Amino acid sequence: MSAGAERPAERRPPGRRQVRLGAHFPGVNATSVWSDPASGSHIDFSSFVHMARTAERSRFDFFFLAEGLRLREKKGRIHDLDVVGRPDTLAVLAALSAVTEHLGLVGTLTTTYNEPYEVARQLATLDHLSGGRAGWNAVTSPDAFTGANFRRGGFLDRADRYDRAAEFVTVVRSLWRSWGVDDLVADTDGARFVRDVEVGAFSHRGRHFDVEGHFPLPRSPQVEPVVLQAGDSDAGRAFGATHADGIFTLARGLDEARAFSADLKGRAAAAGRDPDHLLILPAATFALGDTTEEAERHAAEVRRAQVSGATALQFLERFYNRDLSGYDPDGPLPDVEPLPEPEDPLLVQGQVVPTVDVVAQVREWRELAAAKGLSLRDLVVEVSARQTFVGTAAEIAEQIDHRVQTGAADGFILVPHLSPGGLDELAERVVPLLQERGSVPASYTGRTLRENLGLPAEPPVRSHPVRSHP
Amino acid sequence: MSDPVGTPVVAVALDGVGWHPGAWRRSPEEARRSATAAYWRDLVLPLDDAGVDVVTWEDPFGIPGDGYGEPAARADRLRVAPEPVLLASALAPSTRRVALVPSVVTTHTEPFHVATAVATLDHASLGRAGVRLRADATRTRARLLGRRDLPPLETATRDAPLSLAARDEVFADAGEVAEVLGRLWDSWEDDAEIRDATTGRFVDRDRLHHIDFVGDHLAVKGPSIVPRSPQGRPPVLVLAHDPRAFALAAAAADVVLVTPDAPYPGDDAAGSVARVRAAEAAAGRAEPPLRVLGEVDVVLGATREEATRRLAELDALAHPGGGAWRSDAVVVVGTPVDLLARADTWRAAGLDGLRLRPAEHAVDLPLLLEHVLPHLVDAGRPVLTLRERLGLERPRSRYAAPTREDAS
Repeated sequence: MSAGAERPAERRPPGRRQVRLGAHFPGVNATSVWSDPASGSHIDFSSFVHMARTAERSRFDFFFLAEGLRLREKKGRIHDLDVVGRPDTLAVLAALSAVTEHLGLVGTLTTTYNEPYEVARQLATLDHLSGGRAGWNAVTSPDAFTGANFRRGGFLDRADRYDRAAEFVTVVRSLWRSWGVDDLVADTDGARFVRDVEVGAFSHRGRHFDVEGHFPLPRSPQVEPVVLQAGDSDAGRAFGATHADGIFTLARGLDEARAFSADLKGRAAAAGRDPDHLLILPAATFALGDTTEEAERHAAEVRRAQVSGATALQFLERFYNRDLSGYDPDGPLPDVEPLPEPEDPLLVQGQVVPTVDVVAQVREWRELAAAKGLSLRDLVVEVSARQTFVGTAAEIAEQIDHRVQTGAADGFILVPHLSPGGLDELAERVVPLLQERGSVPASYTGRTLRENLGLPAEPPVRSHPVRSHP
Repeated sequence: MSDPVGTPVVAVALDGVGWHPGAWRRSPEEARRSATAAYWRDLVLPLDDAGVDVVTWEDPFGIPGDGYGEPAARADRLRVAPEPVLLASALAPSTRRVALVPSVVTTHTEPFHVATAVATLDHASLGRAGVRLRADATRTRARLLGRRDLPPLETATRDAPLSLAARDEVFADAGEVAEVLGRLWDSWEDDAEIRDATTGRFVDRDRLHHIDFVGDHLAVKGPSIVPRSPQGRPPVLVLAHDPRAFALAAAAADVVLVTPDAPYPGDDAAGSVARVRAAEAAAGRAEPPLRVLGEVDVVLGATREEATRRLAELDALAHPGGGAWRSDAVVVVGTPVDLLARADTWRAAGLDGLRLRPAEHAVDLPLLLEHVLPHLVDAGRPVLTLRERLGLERPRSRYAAPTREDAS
């Protein structure tokens, strides 16, 4: 490693924590603004190439894709207000591997509508094709709504989903490790391609999976592609602390974020892991300006563009549990009372259900709207998600770095509001400042995503070898 | 058939380091690298430059086997089988004209994932995607997933009752998968994305469609998550020996791969085409006639003696106890001139083209590129979608409202 000592990355001030950066392709939700004249395609491959190359020029650790396996619906009709439509995650990442050299390629794949053998083979293939840049955000999907698109259907009980996910990830990792270091011999004189006939053999019998065979890929460059986990529930946290290399989570206030990070790292330590090898990576949005005031103005414009009148009504329907399509978004808040449960179960298919007391929430919003004289749409602009980071390049660099240096996160997965150019300014203006501080390396120093993220190149074995039955 | 290029359709089938099970013994370094992008780029880019129409990838799904039957784990066989849809996707940005056709095992995959992945390949390649569908009745591969219970495939007699039942089942399932793929690819009309700022609507939801497919083997609601791709419906290929596969091709494919000569006596090229036409009639096919490509394994040499010697050496490497390569295709062992002469015969008998399967990539691909392909393909041909190259129109979505022309 003596050669590495001369690299810029090694000049960082002692004790300074590294900021890990992910680039989230704009998603299928109200964050993405399609009405802006600068908004391009969300499906043309050229959009993905543009953003991935921007991220790689600025030494982002990885490119990130979310997943959605059924279009959202309201009363059996497709939700039409936000960006609708996205490509298949793995096919895009494989294609991007050909136009990037260093950038990690991380995709969200559900453990509910896939099988461990398939996912293990797909990610090992991506890891081989990309020379060690594959990553997997492992999620669970509880609903029968999505299950209607799959052979497997929607039977999985919410309580069972992390149980299946844990067994799923354990089997996947066992397959990735089913070839030993010296198993591929390709010895033509001895007529052996593999060391012996049992190379890659696996056999697992558990509660959710009963599988056996031979894994058809040699050990990949990372051996184990990076595994992220998303899911903030107690079961989700327990799963992530045990099984994941990183946690993809929501952005929170500073204190809450520190508490979340401490909780996860504490759980990892309790499971016998090095807490530094569990990265906390919240998703974060941003609005950049030449001055603080310009950034604030820009942030407000983006929020207004994210919340059309129709979107505002749709947002409130999730709290009112009523069809509000007859109301005027430029008028006052609807005078009807919220219902405890949706009046029609098809009202909000495929959307996140609020976990708050909806009656109290709506009362609070009415008071806010009255005090500030806000229309229905103004109110939703006011209370719906705000950008995580707002300011000049220097201010955003400071906000990001401060959070990482004070233990609120290990980095951020940045979500631009525009495709394909939404990351350009941040990449060109903010990342160099983080590099000047020594918080982001000047160049890629590792060979693999795992190495660039500071994760152990040879991950410890966390699961029992599957050749022996439990 | 309408052929915008005027030459037969030529596909090159890549598989491991070559189709002969002894090929890796000649190319151990290539075999070692056979899951890397560099290995595949080095193979595909010269084919793209030469004007080859299609490159295909097999999918053994598990470890590669030697042929029909349950794949047996052997230490002396290549054991590398990357996922072919991802291989094809990784080749899309660096190629220009060649169509990229991975194989997919319908029996063990989710048709929703297959439809979206192939549509994405079509977007990334600007209309050069296709997919070969393969039903698989082996128990060994079913056990990799543990989801479907199949009896061991009896190899002693291909007509053992349990194996027949298993084949019936997986082909019926494949037919439903093919139907779901077509419906999902049609589930977005071309102009569904409207970005109407006045009403705040990104899509016109009347141009997005639930497919509501309910079959005996699977049910899929839809619509797809992927907007309609450049070709609308990427072409579907099916390889046919079994009558069930001819029926599947006639019902659901655009291209059928047949064995134009022995080892099936009486099945010469004209006979194969006649079987395809009979299957189309039996299926009541309304789509344009299937494009028929002949499956040809290729062992080339400067002389016939050299080619024969190469095959004998490969056979000796693969079967040290004696034995020969058992291929399901015509095996041409000879000179480039021999191969071109056979190609002329098959063309005259009604085949639309060939799928060439090099026995040994390292030897047979350079020979094909230098001595055979210049006579079969047009190195200066324009960039076309795969459908265009096959002379197939871009289909309208089956869910789109009829236009005035339709009514007249």
